[in-house]
Amino acid sequence: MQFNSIYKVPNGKLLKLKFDFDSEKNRLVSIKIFGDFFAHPENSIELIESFLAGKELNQFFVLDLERFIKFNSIELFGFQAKDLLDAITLGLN
Amino acid sequence: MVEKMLEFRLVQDSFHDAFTNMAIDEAIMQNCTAFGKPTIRFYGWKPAAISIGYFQSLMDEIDLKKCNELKVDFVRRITGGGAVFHETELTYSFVCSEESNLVSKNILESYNQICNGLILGFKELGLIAKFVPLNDIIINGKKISGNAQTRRQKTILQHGTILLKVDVEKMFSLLKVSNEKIRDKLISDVKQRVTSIENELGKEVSLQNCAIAMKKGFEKAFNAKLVEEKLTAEELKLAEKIKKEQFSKKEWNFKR
Repeated sequence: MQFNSIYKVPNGKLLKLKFDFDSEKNRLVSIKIFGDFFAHPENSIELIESFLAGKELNQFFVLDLERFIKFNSIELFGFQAKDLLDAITLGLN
Repeated sequence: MVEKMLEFRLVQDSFHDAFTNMAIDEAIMQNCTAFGKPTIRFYGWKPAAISIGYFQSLMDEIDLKKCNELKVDFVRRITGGGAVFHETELTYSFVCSEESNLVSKNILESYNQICNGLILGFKELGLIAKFVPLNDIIINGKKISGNAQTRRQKTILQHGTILLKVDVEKMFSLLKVSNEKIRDKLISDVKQRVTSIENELGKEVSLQNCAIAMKKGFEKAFNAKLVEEKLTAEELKLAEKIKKEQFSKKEWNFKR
C-alpha cells in the first residue's frame, strides 16, 4: 500500500516521503526520499533508498541505517536516521 | 620576504537563463583543477527562474502552469537545499579545489568560511549579518541569503543568493503549497522570516554595487585579491555541452 509523509525535522529540514509498505510483514517495499536537505555525496540518497527497500520496521531499523550511513561515509544535513523512521511512522499513522 | 597574496579569478558575469547559469557553475567546477585558481562568479537570472534542490520533486514543488504563464524558467540544481525564486538578486558561486586547503574539509565549517565572505560584504553595505548553520545568512533575524554546496572530484562548489529585493507573493504563486487554505498564512510567515537589502537599507542597491561590496567581502575573508577574468573558451564550450546534455533536459529536471 502506498503512503506519503511530510515531516518537518525538529531544527532540521523538510522530509517528504513516498513509500510502499507491506503491513502484513511490517516491511518497507520501496521508498523515495525527497526534501530540502543536503546529502554528501548526492547519490547517497539513492543508496539509502535501495538499502531500505525490503527493510522491516523493527527495533534495529535506526541502528542498521546508521551503520549503513557510516560504512558508506555518507554525510547528511537536515535529518538523521531516526528522523526517517519518524517520518515513516507519521505516514503510516 | 613578502608573501604573495592569494589570487582568485572573479567572473563578473551577466544575466543568463537558468540552464546556462547552472551549466556555467558546473563547467567552472569541472575545469577547476586545470584552471588552477579558485573562482568566484557573480551573475543574474533572465528570465526569472525557480531552481529546486537536487533532492526535491519538481512536480511537488513548482506550479508548472503558473511558471509557463509568467514565463519563469525552472531548473534542478546539482546542490541540495530548497526551492529558490531567482529574480532581483545577486547570485554568486565559489569554486575551489579541496586540496587547496582554502576551506575546511568539514562541510559545516566550510559553509561558515565561505559565507563569511558575504557577511563581510554585507558589512561593506552597512549591514550586520550573521551565519546560521547550516546554510543561511540572516540580518535582524530574517534570512537574506541561502547557500548550497556540493563536492565532486575533490572540488567544492558553493552557490547562493543575495536578495536585493523580494516579491513574496510572486514567489508563492509559483510554488505548490500542500494545503491551499494556508497559502496566505505561509506568505505572511515568509514575509516575517525573509528580507532583502532594499528592506534593510530602505533603499535600492544595484546589482553592480552589491557585487562590489561582495568582492571586497571575499577579499577580506580569504586575504585574497579577486582579479577580474572571463570564462575560458574551454569553459564556455563545456558549459554549452552541459546545458544541452543535462540542465535543459526533461530527464534531468523531472528526475525526482
